[in-house]
Amino acid sequence: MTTVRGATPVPVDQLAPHFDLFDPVHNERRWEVLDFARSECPVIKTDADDGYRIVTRYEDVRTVLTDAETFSSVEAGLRGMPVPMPPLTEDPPNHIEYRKALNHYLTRTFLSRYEESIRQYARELLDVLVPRGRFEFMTEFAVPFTSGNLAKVILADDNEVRLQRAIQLAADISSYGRNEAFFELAELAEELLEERMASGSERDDVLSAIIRATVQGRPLTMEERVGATMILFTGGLDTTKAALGSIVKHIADDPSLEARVRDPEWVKRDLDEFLRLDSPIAFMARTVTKDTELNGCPLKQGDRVAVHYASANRDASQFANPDVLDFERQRNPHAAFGIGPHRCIGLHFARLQIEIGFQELLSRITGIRVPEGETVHTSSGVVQSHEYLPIEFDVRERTPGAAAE
Amino acid sequence: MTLTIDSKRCQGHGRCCLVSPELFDMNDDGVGVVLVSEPGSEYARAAEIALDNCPEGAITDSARSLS
Repeated sequence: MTTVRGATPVPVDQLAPHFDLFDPVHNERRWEVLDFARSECPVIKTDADDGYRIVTRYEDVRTVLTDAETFSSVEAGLRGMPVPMPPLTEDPPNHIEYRKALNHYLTRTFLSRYEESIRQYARELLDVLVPRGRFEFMTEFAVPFTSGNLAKVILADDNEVRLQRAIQLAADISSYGRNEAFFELAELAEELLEERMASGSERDDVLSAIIRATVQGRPLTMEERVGATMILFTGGLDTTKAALGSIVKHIADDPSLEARVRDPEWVKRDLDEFLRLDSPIAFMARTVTKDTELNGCPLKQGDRVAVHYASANRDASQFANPDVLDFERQRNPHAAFGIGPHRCIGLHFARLQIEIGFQELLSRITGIRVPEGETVHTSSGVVQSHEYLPIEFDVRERTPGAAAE
Repeated sequence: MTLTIDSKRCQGHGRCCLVSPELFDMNDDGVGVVLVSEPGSEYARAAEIALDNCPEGAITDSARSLS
């Protein structure tokens, strides 16, 4: 499965102590290193960056994620965060106050009001793409689809020009990792928040909830409001995109999966197994707050720990035959959305977009394949996502109204 | 049949309200809640699916003996 370049590949036990989670070359051997770690040394120490540990086993990942007192989220990105982004970068007790203020707006029940708009948007995109007979799935569908849905649900800006600009900035962040786009989007969010606050309009949506939210009895600062808006927006961007792309690629690799994903029950039955095998977020980070021990490995206050969700999801002691899609698994407690208090706040939103996205896509096309001679490109680092995924397909005869059943 | 969710075990995966929305929802704490705590036999299948799907084994049905 793993391809090794060069004449003499470094043996895995010699690579592990220097394993760099951001190195694209190391990334090609990640499963080999993580498999080795899980069986030989489950909390490996690497000297990459300034040195950190990688937690690789399911049970240990769970332990870290459910013990916020010992493992702080304040620096939840292994290489830091551009700005503090609560609630992701908060610990108890503030964390739960943020989540209580926001959870309601991301429940399935609340989000159902956006279903039609999400479906309509998928159709608009596909109206242009499908007649072409082939398109690049990531930048031409997955990125605009998720960016547009996030902008509409999280920002809910009535100013159409600014909304379109937000969608473009989000796409720039997602497709090209353009750092300035992140700060431009943060500025836009601040402008929108200020406008909404000045107007005094109380709306039943995410932005108004952020404005109303309090921690320890005080309203949020503008920095906190912008940070919260940004994590809700950007947290849903690459992740939902990655899941969409990963499933399309699986269908292209194994055409029998198309029928499975056509079955309306697939979101309930099969989606989580796709997410387990290809976790969009590979890892997040924690900081050790006091000397402790994890599965026999001593940790010192201040140590940085990468919590590897994708490795946990391939832990054979939790999932039999972890490297293959197996839709018959009884219970699937995968860690793709995280575990514990910081579990993904947008998981219902992600599932809804994936459900609608595939309903609309497969109502239009069949026989998805990667064109001959094309190579799929995949990112390494925090997000595991295909970045370049050209597809061709056969166009289905349109039966009006069939898509929505 | 009486359905309960152990809110301490629930990790908010949201699978119960995904597979059996007629019986479960999520509350604003992000924790699963039972909508119909004593469902009739017409819900037996939906309850069973939710029980089997909960990754944390947090849902209990008084009529079903747990190992």
